[in-house]
Amino acid sequence: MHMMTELHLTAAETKLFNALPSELQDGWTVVEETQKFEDTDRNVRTRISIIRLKDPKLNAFKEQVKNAKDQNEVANLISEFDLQNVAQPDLAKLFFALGTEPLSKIIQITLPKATTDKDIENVAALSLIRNALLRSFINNYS
Amino acid sequence: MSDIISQPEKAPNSGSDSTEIESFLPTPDVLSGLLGKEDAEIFEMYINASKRAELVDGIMEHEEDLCNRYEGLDNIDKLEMESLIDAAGEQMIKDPSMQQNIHELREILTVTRQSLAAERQFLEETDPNGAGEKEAALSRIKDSEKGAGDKEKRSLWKKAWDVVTWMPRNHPIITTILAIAAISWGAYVVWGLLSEALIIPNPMTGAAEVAETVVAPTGGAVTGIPQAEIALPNLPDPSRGSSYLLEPLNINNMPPPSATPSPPMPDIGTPGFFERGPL
Repeated sequence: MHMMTELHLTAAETKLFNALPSELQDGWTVVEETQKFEDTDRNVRTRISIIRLKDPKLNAFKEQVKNAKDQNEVANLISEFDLQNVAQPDLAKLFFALGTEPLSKIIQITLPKATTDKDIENVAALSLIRNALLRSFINNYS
Repeated sequence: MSDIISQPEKAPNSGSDSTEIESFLPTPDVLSGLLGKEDAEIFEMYINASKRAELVDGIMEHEEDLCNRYEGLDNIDKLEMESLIDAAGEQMIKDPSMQQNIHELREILTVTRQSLAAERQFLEETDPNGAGEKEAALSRIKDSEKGAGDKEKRSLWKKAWDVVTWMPRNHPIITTILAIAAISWGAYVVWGLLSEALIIPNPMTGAAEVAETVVAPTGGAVTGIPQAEIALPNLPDPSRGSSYLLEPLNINNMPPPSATPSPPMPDIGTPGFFERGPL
């Protein structure tokens, strides 16, 4: 399997990365994320509206959410759900609907808290997804 | 999808000699003329999900005519048309006046088309199996070096999605995308729950006495999602500090009913709560 060794970080995020202990930085290469895109509420609403999920595990989760008695039960359902065995295309659709800005915020708040190489790997995956999202948004929203 | 920005000789039913560049969008005025049906009948087909397929079929039957009419339109993507008709129909259900507000409807359909195109590009680029473009890539890529690069890229995406799949349940991205899924199913209240996934210390307290404080996405101003709109999950400003803790959703931290925003967060169980709403 390919080794994911690059972090696609903005200049501000790079500063956060550089502030981490050197042993955490070892083995990672920062590639500056220069793409910029300003999302809109209409874009977000539209992306959410076109979500069509097919994964059986997610569809079972949907039924649980729909049958929830109250918002606390929904909260519990969400907190107990994991993404293992969820089909990759459906994961991608959810990230697509979410968009780049929340993803950036999450990168920015998780990066400084990284304490293990696994934490950095998580950021690397999210930054790679954001990189592709930015490209698709810039190319298609005009 | 076809890139169908075009300049028709005369936009269907435009009623003007405008030279404004228009693409083909399945609006009621266009389909009424195209299919030779009354406006009321067309409207009924839009708002009746079981009849939307007839609209799509009608469009596809006139594909050649439309391609001749709209310069630059080479073909019509049936799946795209289905999505656009769905989007238009849902808008008309929410707001029947949309039938007459062609300008607004065109804007909505334009964003829908852009979103579909963006989604397609993103899904193709991030597909670890290269589905969709696999065959095209195989026939296009003769250069073994380039083929190796493509394989490496797929391998990279497989790794990235594996990482996401195995992230801990309390990672904020997991909660966030599950919230997005629930919202897409009509559970708008979940947007408010999203805030509960992020526990941020009060920046006014000392490090030794950090109180874990639940901070709503907007700093406490909004904890629910109005039925009329979906806002971005405005997550906390990182400039507030990095010493946060991530915790799973804690139902004990749920805001009391009095903390619900205006307009009030709808109660689960309310008829229509889970129906697809105002997206």
